[in-house]
Amino acid sequence: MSYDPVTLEVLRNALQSAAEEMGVVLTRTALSPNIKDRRDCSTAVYTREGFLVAQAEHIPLHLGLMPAVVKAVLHEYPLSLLNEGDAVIINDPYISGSHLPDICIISAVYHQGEPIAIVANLAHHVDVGGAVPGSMSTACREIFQEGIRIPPVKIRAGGRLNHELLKLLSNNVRTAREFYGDIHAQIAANSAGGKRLKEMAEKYGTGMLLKYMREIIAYSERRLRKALSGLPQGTFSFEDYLEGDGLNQDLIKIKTTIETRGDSILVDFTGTSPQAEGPVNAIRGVTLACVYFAVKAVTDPELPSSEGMSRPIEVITPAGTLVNPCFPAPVAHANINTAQRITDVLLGALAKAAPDRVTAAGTGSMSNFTIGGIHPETGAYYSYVETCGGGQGAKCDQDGMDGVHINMTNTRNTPVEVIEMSHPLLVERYGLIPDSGGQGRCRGGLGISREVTILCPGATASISTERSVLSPWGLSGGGEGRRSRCSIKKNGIVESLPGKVTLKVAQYDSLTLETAGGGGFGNPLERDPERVKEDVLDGLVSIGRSKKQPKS
Amino acid sequence: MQGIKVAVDTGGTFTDICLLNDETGEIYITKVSSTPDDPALAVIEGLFKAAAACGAGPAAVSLVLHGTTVATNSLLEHSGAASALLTTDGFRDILYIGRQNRPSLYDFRAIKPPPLIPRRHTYEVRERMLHTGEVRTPLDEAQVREIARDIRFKGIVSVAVSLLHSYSNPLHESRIKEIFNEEHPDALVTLSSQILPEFREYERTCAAAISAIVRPKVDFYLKNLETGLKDRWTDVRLLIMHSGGGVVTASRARSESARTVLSGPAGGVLAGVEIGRKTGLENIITLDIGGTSTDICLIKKGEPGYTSEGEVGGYPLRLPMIDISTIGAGGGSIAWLDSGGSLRVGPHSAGACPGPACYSQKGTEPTVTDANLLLGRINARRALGDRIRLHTGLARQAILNKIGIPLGLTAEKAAEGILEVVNASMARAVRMVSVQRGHDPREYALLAFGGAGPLHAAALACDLGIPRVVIPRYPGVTSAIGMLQADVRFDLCRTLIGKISGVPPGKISEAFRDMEQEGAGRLREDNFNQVSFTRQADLRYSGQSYQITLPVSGEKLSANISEQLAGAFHEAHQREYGWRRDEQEVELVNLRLTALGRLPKINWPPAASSNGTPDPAGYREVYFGYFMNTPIYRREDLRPGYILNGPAVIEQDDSTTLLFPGMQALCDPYENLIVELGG
Repeated sequence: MSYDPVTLEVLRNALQSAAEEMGVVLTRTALSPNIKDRRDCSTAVYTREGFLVAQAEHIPLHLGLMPAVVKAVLHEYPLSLLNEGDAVIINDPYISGSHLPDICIISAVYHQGEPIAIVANLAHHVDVGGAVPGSMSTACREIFQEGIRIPPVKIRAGGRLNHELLKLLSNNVRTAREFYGDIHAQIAANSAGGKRLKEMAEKYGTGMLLKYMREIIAYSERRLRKALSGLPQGTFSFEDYLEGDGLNQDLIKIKTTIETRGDSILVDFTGTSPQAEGPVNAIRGVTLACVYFAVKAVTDPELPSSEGMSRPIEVITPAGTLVNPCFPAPVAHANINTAQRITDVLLGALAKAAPDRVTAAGTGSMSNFTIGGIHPETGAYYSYVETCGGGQGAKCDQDGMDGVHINMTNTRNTPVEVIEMSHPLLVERYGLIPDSGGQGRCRGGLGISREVTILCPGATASISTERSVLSPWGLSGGGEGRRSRCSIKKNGIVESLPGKVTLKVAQYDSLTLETAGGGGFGNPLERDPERVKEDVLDGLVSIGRSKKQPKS
Repeated sequence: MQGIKVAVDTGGTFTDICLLNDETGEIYITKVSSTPDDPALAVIEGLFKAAAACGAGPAAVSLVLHGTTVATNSLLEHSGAASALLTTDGFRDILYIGRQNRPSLYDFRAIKPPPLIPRRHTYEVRERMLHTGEVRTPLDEAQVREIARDIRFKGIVSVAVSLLHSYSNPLHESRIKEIFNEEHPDALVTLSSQILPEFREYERTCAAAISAIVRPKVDFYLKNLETGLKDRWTDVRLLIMHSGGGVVTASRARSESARTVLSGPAGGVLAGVEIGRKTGLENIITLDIGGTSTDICLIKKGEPGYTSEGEVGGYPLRLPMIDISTIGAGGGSIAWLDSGGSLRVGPHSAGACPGPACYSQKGTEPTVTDANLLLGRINARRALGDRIRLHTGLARQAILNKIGIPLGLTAEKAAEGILEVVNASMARAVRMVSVQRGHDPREYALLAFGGAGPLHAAALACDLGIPRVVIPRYPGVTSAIGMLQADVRFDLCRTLIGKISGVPPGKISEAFRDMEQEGAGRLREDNFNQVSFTRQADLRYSGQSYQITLPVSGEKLSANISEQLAGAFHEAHQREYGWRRDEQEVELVNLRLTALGRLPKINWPPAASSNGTPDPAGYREVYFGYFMNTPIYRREDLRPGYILNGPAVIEQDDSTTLLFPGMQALCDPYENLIVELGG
């Protein structure tokens, strides 16, 4: 054995703790609600070659982004040009692999004049300019309309902030104050990580630290290969459809073929539709995140995230398709919808290999809900951004969870009291939707309903969800989950809306978003009567429905 | 209050009792087995036994301070009372949705804990308050009456009420309580605005629901206990430890039961504060290592950290509490090899049954205790005061089979690796409370207690660069001893959100005055007269979501209090997070007041010191990289002033202390062992 298992575990702990410490600094000091409350951010430690060693991710979407972004940036900004005290900023999805609001800050860590590691963090800013407040328009045709595009440039050089650049950038965003605060928090997070890594180099010696960073990567790879070997061998395909690109409602095909090959796996998206005109295109980094998520969840949920995780997984994403678009296709909403639907398709394929390790289709979207405008009291822009959970798909032996974020995200909701304190909005209702889970031996989780009244004139609202056309599927005879629904109430008259919409809203209009439930698992007739009774007593399932058969 | 003071700390396995004679300063310590089905049995039996052993007659015991796990257990075991919840119309599912996040990112099977109160017992009330405290929809009282009758009909006696924005205006919640008094007088009604008057509806509702659920059991338990005690000692007073590190009267603990959840480890921290005061070590990190878990707390300048972000069993509990971190690593933690070939320890524990392999109760998994035994660090014949005999052969076999052979290591090397890994996870936890919050561990002493604390402390301190370790005289019952130092304590809070520059100082002092009256009033009601207050403010940069709590000192608030606070905040932010922005607006969030009713303290006089070294009780082979013939001392032989040089093992009934070669320990005038790490 070329490594010492004790040192491996000790250093893995220490490096993970450095990444987590960066996350604490970032979330505790940032100003954007997306970062501080919803934790749409990740922090990570890399080898000096840019290979991911330890990551503190709060949402799985960053699983594929963090490994890709640093390598891409080092390609443009080799280590020889990255000095101590430098920080590179980037948000260009065609380099970093996400969407424009995700800004990444990258720094090299030096010890006694020698580079020992890279630290980086990525955070979803509240606004990066572009067509609408929040920079998440559902109707862009080019990335240029989605906000300011930052190539890898130094925001800090030799410990000094580049104020000229900050001025340029903040001039292009609606919420300059938050932007400044968040950039500060991001730079401070890297400094905290750098400090900890230097201490480790001091304590263990640079050679030892570098060696064990490589060993940690090899460790993840070994673990994943072992877990992959436990999957049945074969080729498994699945396809499903994304419901429109925001500009039109045409269905867009996502197709995957998974081949298990001993201790490795091939995931091929050939057959997926060409890239869309609207902003639903998933950059390859987003698609990779979905693949890593599905593989990790199905094989080894506790697997530490590192470069080693990507080595046994080969992913084919034909260029110019929905899962690997070409510049300058718009991409903002891929994170919200497309990522969730790609994951559904992957789980659908893996269900054929290992039905006992997956879930049926869930709510299928992060269900974005944005309301913004000028605040009547302060005269400043306000922007309320929320993503809404729904039903988790049922598992072979467990009901899907009700009202949660699933798969690629796990951001928290904003407390109703905070929404009303911070924005001219009133939340009328926030609750589960009874009967929205698919029936089955295990039932799907319930969707969430949220109704919000806008208290001042001149606001713009945007809703982006999925599964308003095609119901979430069940598995092994389980029923479908209920579809999502959106509507607006004007002067007491309710009008339904499509799943992706941006519109002007008048004072006292109310918007309602009802997210989809999860699909069921197994024959509903096999459901334990005691659990049917419990659900009926709690009003989660109505008596009428509990008697009805699902349609086959 | 003259006479005998007793502290009783109920734990999972043992109930620790510490009896103190106020007049003579004598202390008597005992452990009895806990009686989980009716914890009062062990408490009363142990108390009577202890009192008899000290020759204390009737009327002798004046005060009983008690740390109880009744509330925590009924919550964790979901054995609390059936309770009902009243929410604002449209928000019935608040406990179901929570913060809409799931417990594990990747594990589909990791599900949320069940809602505290089921939906079938949740009622929506027609009313609506705005964040300004303005009534948007008046309370539908007729509907509340119907609900109260329905709840009575169902036979539910514990009711939580949590309405939107009740922190801003509690009017509707209070009115509901009045209506219940008329319609369902037997109901125990808990208002969210009373238990936690802070914004964020899910967390506030959880606090009310937790209180409602544990309340009937706590109520029953404490009522019986108090009766049992008074039968014997007519004038005895029963005070209950709460998670804020103080005590309250039993009757308050019965009505605000959530405060007794997570009160367990608070006693150890109080012991840390007291030992720090006596030894002059103001900065202390307490390390309490038990069988399955380790509790860690940072005490800075004699003050432990406080938090309002606690969690129990997956539910948030945002009541002010001592900031104690708990990790799932202890003496019973199991060592294992994972599929990637890394040596891991915990979080699984062998528990009390089967226990470590060396207990010879059919356990085959190697634990931390097995590793310590194999390396000669604990005595096979003297564990837990002769209660159990340990088998080194079984420990060796388990370590070799599960770790040594697969890794190609000797049993000793494997055991050393197990200890190194468990120490690394404890070190990570200590770093989280220190380094990650801007405190340098090198400026702290490590106070180690619990059965296994003194065994691991020296290695851990080395790893963290902590120069000094303190081992109290009775490490196994330190929590109970700490309770003897408790004061009656109420933590009050007022939400006052706004830019600090815009808040008139008059409003701040008015809020503090208001809280002082409330605190003093409560203390007076409970017959405590020696009252003192400490004031604090929660601040943040405008736009942030997390606040930093800062002391507000001085008897009278100065006119430029806002500027003072803002200045202190910038500094604290720099210290804690490494950056500050002086041009950014600072925001006030909450004002906090702690009202203390001082209880009389004993003043242990320092004992006279004498130079010397004790004679070892024997020698044993102990592994420090290789086996060394190491002197074994008995703790009871160490007199103040004595000095010991490592390597050494110091044994006592409730714990074992390990000194590495090169370390030196001094027995101080209070019989603490002060270990200097040297170099």
